[in-house]
Amino acid sequence: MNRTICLTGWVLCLWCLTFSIPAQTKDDETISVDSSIVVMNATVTDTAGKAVTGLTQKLFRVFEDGAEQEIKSFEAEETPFAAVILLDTSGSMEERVTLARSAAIQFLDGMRATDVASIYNFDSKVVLVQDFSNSRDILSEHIFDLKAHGTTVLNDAVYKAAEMLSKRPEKRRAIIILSDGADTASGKSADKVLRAALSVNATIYSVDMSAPNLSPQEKAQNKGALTNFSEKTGGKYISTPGGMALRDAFTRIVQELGVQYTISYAPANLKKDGKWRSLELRISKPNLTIRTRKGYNAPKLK
Amino acid sequence: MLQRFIFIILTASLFATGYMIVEAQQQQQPIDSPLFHQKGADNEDRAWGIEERMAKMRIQKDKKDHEELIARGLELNEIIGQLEKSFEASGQLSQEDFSKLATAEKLAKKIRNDLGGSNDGDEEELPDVDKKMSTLADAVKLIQSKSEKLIGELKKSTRFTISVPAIQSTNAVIRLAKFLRVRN
Repeated sequence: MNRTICLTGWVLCLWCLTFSIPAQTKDDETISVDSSIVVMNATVTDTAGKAVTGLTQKLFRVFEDGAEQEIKSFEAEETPFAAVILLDTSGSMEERVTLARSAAIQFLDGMRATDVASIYNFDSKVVLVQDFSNSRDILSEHIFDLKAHGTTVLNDAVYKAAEMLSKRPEKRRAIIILSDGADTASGKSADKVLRAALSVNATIYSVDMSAPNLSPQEKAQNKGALTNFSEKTGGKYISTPGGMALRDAFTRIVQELGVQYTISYAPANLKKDGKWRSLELRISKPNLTIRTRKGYNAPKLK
Repeated sequence: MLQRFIFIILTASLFATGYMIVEAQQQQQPIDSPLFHQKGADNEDRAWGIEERMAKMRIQKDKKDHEELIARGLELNEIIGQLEKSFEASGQLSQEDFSKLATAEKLAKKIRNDLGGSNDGDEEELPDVDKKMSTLADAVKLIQSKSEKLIGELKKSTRFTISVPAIQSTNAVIRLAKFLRVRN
């Protein structure tokens, strides 16, 4: 009899574990992109951090692994963008979901007629709130029903955003993460996700909504995860706990995306070796800073 | 047999209850706990309050600065417009026009400074300006068009952006204002 009880107990334990562990996704999925043309979206700022507009192509030079590349196309303000906004609705965001929602709406309000944005929320899973659209008028009612609960699948959410952006025709692409912390439950690694974002040329802006009373270690951990995404993709990490600062940050992001420079070139090195190619964009004007992606992984022959 | 069945059912219920408790705890983060909330919320609210006030002040200052920048551009454009009308009417610049030119130059320098440009712009080569300002009439026409371009760029800009063509237009206005004053 004891044996039967033990066996039943184990079966039930396994059943419980199956449901309590979030669904793990395969880490070997890949996003296919065209590698014959490399696109760089760059933000140029002055010493005060303001985005500089009206620069001309002749001021820019592109380098891949140290070798200068010939610029094939140069676009400025007129280029439309596609963005994915990722709203963290995990349990710890409970008191800030409303702020996050209003910031997302602020972003939609700031878009130009040709820009599109999509909204996802993520906690234990990634859920579509609004598909790519240009207007807040068709904003799904779902955004007003968002409740905070569960764990944080940040990496899975960023991967999903990259996947969605890879299907868009716009060259200028961005992912805006609004979260209070590091990943706790994703099936995908941060490295895998970062490679996916770089491969689709998505600039990641991360808005850290961590509570100010977190321990220094927790703060550092949250900041580290988000900064890594932003720095390597040419985006920006913004720490903004308050509502007004948050809305202002979103206005800044949407305006910055509107005045980026989109530069493309055909890489001289066409080897499909899967290796990292470092990118550098230089400008022949003093006191200006360029933010763009740090590189990309060449495709690999299967 | 029945005893065994009851025992199994009880054990299963125990595990199921345990699972439900664990799941419920996962859904409710510590922030919902009254103990955590009381202690954390006070500090949090205070810290957020200070940061929020600072952010508000910074945003208001930025907005005011940008509005003032556009106002200066409009004032400059107005002065240049008056100057052009005066020149059109008399074919020359009066003493009053020259004092307006000095004001226009000062305003253009202030705008350039606000845009992050520097005095280096005075030395910058402006081929499209230098080639065209051979006569007073050409220079007056050109300063008017550069001033129009400047205000167009300023209106297009926001408090988050800096326009290079706007800086170049201020340089052109300054160069032309100097030229017109020297030509007298």
